[in-house]
Amino acid sequence: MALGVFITFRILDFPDMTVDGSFPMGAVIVASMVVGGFHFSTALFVAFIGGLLAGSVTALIHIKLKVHNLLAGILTLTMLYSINIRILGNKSNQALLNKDTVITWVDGLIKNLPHPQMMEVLFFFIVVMVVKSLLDLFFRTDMGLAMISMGDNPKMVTTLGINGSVMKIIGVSIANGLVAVSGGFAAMYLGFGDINLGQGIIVSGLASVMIGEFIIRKDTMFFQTFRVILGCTIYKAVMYVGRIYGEPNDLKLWTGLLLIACLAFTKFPILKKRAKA
Amino acid sequence: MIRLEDIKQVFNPRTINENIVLRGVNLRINAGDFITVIGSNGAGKTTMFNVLSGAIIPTSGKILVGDRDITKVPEHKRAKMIGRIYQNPLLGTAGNMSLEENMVLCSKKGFRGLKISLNNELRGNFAEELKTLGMGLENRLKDRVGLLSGGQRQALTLLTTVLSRPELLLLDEHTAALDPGNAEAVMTLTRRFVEEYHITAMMVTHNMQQAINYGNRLIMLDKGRIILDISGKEKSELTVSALVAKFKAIGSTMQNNDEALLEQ
Ligand SMILES: Nc1ncnc2c1ncn2[C@@H]1O[C@H](COP(=O)(O)OP(=O)(O)O)[C@@H](O)[C@H]1O
Ligand SMILES: [Mg+2]
Repeated sequence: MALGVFITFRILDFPDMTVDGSFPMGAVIVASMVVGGFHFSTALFVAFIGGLLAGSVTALIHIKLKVHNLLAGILTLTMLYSINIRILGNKSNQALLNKDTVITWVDGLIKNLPHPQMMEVLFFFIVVMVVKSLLDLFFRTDMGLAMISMGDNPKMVTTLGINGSVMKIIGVSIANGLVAVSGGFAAMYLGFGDINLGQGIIVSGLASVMIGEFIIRKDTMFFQTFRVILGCTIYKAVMYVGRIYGEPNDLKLWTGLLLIACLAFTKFPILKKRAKA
Repeated sequence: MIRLEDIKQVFNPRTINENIVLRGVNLRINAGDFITVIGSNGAGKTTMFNVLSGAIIPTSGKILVGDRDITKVPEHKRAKMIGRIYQNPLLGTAGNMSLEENMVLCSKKGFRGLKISLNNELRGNFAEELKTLGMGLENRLKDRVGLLSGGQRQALTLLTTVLSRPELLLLDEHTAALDPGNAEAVMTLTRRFVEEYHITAMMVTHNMQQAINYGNRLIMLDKGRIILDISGKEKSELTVSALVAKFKAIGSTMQNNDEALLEQ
C-alpha cells in the first residue's frame, strides 16, 4: 500500500487521492469474490485489475479534462464509494468467516505450529519483499527509468520522445493496482471487507513514505523502496502503541502531527511548493 | 530540408491581450546549415523554436520536413527529428538521476518497454563518449547529475542530444545562464559537435560576435518577421558594427540590455 503511494507521490510527483478508494475497492472485491466461491488468488488478481482501472480513470480525468490531479483523485474516490457498495451487493461490509483465504492457506501450510501468527508475519514479509524487488527491477527498465525522469523533470519526457500522458496513466494505474491488492490482503487478514477501510490510506501511506525518508537518507532505488517499507512498519507500530496506551479517538490527531513533524524535517517538494511561493 | 511556410502565431486571439508574435515567417533550412539567430527581446525567436519543436501548434502556416507536413505532429513525436537545448541547464537532464541513467534514457527515443536499461557494455560506451567532453565526467557515471555544474550539465545535454542524431538541433541561448568560462567551453563543444556530426542547427544568441563567428548563415528576427538572412561570403565578411547598423536601421526596438550586449 505504502509502495503504491510512494510511486505516485515520489516517482510521479502526482498526489493521488484515488488510493483512499482503491484500497477498499480491493478489499470488497476480494471479500465478495471469496464469498462467491472464487479462489483468493483470482480475487486478488481481479482486485489488481480494479485498481488499475481506478488509477487510469483518475489519470484520464486529470489529463483529458485538465482537472487538477488532487481533484481528479477526489472525483474518482467519490465515485468509487458507490461502486464499492455495488460490488458488495448494496451492503457496506462483508464478513469472510469460515472462508478459504490467504490466511487459512498460510496457516494450513505447516500444521500444529505453536504460533500460527509467526507464519502469517513471515508470509506477508515475503509478499512485501517480492513486490519491492519487482518494483526495484521495474525502475531499472527503460520504462521505469523514463517514469522516474518524468517525475524529476517533466520537460525531459517529451524530449525523450515519450507521450507523458501515457506514462502518467501507466504509473498511476500500477500504483492503484498495488494499493487495491493490499486492500484485498487487508480484507482477508481482518476477516471482512468494508467500504470504509480506505479512510486515511493516503495519509498513512504518506506518513510511511516520510518516516522512511526521515530515517534513511540514501537515495538509490533499493533504499527508496526499502525505507518506505520500514517507514510503514514504524508507522503501524506507533499507531499500535497509540491505540493501546492512548485515547483511540486521538489517533488521527497524532497522525497529523506526526506528518507535520516529518514535513518540517524532510524535503517534500510537491507538498511544500505552495508554502514557499 | 525543413521549411517554414508563412507561419503566423497569435497568442490570446480576439482578447485585449491579443499578441501577434509571428507575422508570416518563411524559412528554408538546408541540410547542414548552421544558422545563428538574432533579434531583440520579444522578437519571436523562442516562439519560432516552439513552432519547430511542436511545443506550440502555429495559428496558421505549415512546417515541412522534406515533403512531409509535420505542422500538427505532437512534440514528443518530433523529438526523434528535432533536438532542443534550453537556456536553463536544469531542463535537459534529470537532476536526481545518475549520469549513466540520464545517458541511457537519452540514447533512445520514443515509447519504451520493460528491458533492463543498463549493462556494462553501455557503461563503457558512455564513458568513452563522456571523455570527448574533456571534463572528467567519464569517472562520475554513478554521480547524480544534480551534482554537476551548470556548464557540465549543459555539455552533457549537448552530448546526449547530438548522439541521438537529430535532423535539426535547436539551441536557444544555451550558454546564457552559464558563467563566462563554462559558456566558452560549451560553445566550443557546440561548434565541434556540429562539425563532427554534420548537424543541421539553429542557435539563438544575444552575442553579435558569436552570431558572426559561428555558423554559415545568420538570420535576424524583428517583430515576428525574418528581416535579414545572409550566408556564405556575405556572412563571413560581416562585422559587429555592420550588424549594429542593421539593428539601428530597423528602428530601435532594442532594449537597453541589447545595446549593451551589442557592444561586446
Ligand atoms: N505561451 C505564450 N502565451 C502568450 N504569449 C506568449 C507565449 N509565448 C510567448 N509569448 C509572447 O510572445 C512574444 C515573443 O516571445 P519570444 O518568442 O519568447 O521572444 P524572444 O525569444 O525573441 O525573446 C513575447 O511578447 C511573449 O510575451
Ligand atoms: Mg527567447
